[in-house]
Amino acid sequence: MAVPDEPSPGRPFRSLTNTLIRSLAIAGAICAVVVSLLQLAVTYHTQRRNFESEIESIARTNVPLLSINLWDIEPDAIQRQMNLITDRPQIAHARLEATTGQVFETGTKPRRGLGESVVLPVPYPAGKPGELGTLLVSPNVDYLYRQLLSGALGVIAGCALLTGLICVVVTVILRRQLEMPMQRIAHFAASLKPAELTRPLNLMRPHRRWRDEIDEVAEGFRVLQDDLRHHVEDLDRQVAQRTAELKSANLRLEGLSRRDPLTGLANRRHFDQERTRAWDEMVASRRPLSLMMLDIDYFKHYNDTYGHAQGDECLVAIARALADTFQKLGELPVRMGGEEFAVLFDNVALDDAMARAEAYRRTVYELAIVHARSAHSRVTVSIGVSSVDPGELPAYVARGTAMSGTAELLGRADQALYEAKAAGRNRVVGIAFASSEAMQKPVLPEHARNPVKP
Amino acid sequence: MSRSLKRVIAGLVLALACTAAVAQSMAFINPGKSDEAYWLTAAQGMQTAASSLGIDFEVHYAQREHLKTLEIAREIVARPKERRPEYVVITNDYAVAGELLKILDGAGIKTFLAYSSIPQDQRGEIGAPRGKYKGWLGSLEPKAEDAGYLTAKALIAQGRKAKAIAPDGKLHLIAIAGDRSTPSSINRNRGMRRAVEESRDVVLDQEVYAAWTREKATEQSEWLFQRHPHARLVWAGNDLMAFGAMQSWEKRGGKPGRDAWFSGVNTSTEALEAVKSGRLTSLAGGHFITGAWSLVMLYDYHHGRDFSGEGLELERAMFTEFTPVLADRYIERFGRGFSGVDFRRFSKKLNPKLKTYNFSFAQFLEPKR
Repeated sequence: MAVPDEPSPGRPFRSLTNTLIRSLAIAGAICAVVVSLLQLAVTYHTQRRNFESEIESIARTNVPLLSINLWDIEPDAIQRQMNLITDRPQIAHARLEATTGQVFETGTKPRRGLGESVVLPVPYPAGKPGELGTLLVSPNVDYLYRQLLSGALGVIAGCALLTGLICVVVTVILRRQLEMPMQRIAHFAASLKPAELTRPLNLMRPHRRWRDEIDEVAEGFRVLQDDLRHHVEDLDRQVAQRTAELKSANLRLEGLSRRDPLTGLANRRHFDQERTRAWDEMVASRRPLSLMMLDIDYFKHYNDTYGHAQGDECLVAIARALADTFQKLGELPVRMGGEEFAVLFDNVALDDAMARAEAYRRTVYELAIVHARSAHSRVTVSIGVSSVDPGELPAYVARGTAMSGTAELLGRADQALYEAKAAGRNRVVGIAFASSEAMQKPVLPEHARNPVKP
Repeated sequence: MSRSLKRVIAGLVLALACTAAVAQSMAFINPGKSDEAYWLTAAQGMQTAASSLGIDFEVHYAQREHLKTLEIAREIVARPKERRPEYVVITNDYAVAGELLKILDGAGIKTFLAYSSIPQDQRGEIGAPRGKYKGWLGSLEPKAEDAGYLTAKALIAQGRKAKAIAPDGKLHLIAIAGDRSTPSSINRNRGMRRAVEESRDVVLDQEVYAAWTREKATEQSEWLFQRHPHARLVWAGNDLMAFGAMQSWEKRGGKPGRDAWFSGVNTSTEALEAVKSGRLTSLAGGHFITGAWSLVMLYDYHHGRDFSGEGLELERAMFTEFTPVLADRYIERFGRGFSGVDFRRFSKKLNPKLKTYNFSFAQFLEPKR
């Protein structure tokens, strides 16, 4: 089972070139040893053959001359011949013994037991039978060893030179073709950031007609980069989509949190946020702010009479009318809870607000929703209006918070609603913020002319 | 100054001038060493002849260095004309005669070859005397073959007398020659071989060359006595080599003249004494006189008696075989030098009745009347 290659900082770095050079050096050394041994064997055999051929040459050239000189009794010439024999590097020692007893010796006597000496008979000149003497020739063992040594050294030197040259060439090729591109790739890979995935890998290699492994690695990087980029882009798109979905869900949730689920009007929570904003704006822009509170008259009776389901329908109808009436900018209709509704008016003075409230009261009246237990046999609403004008705002209120200011405004509107109820319902009562005097809108006569339809 | 004194001085000057003009001048380029017995004797003989005949004579020794002979010739040529000799006697030792003739003849000096002439195979462009080289007057050589023949014959006769025969019934002879190239050596050997061929009971076991030296002959004879144990006759090309062979024979326990017999050439005192004592069986010599004879011929030529009538290139019998009696007589007469001989009696000019030259050395050893 293969052990996965994990980057371990504990292991020292060693370049491929280094490993290759080491392998080459070891291979070169082994080669040198093997070839040296072969060379030793070849040299040994060559030298043996050389010695044999030298012996043959001596027998062919020196022995006939020795024969003549021995016969003519020319000791000087004999000595010269003997010197010529031992001048040959392969011959260490030569000894001529004449049958008449004289001995001629040249060279250095070889150590015993090394190399076999050869005995050559020296015949009479001109083919006379018999011998004039014998010539003993010994090989030069030192010369043989020198030849063996120099041959082996030559091979080792040659192998070393060859290995060295190969190492240099391999180093140059590897450094150019492998090490530098690999280092660039490594550096590139290490410095690659998600933000710059499109940055291309440039190995700065000369243009060639062929592709090699480095090119394939670089090509692989390009493919990997593209895939990564596509993947990242896909992720971005997915995130954007999810974010949008989330945003819309949030929006929906936010909408839901601000609206009354039954009527679709803004709920009390939203109203509480909006009234402080409106108060601050009133103070900042010095424009009036008005609030209208309304309540369905005898709604408890309605529910009791027609059931809760129809009660809800009634509420929805009232709310729809409210939304239809107050849909301008700066008008915020709200379901405060139960059968209680409110409208907040930005930049609307008390008179105007009361007029708009009156118009709505009439609209409800004209809806003519049957309510048997109501005074008008139909559903009516009572409305209380209050308004604050920044010009006449009491100093203590202006200095107070928006919360307490609007609470005050709510209280005034509630007071006005109470007064509208107390005055007989189906009417609008307004109370200015600064005074406690209620202003009442009279009930319009057409109510009577348009009786509730059954 | 008195008149009589003036006359005496004038007479002396005239006499000196006349002497200088009349005296014949000669030089000899001696190839040998100045302490070499044979060549010293030769020069002595020539000096005696020159003195007898009133010849101005000078000797130059080449010390056996062949380049030195050429140096001497060049030195002679380089002299001012009045100090140059009119005649130069040269030899052909080391085959330098051709070059010598060229040098000397170019300077107008007359030349004569004594002892050894130029062999026919070495002649080349040299040609004959009085041809290309006009000053080359002629040559005189001792008949060298005689020396070899005479001594070998005497040796063989002694062997027969002593019955020194080998198991094969024959007399075995070994020869120690001088060298392989000089004409006198070749001729002496030829004479020796002729004597052997004439004798059916003699076998020549081997002929070696000892370079005329005693040392080499000693060494070689040691081998020869081992190699040819039945040889009892030893012929040598000169006296020194004979002594070398005798020395190694004695070293083997032999007695020369008793159990082995030796022959040599040359009239050295040691050789003559050995003849007298019987150690040396046979000795030939007397040819050193060739130089003196050459001077006699040149004297006659100079005085209008040309030797051309007898031939320009003469090879004459000169060798004498020395018996103990002749050896004794030679030592007695010439032991202390050759100065007693008067060479005027051999001149044709001075003896008009003389028709042919007698160059034999024997005439010096004839018993006194």
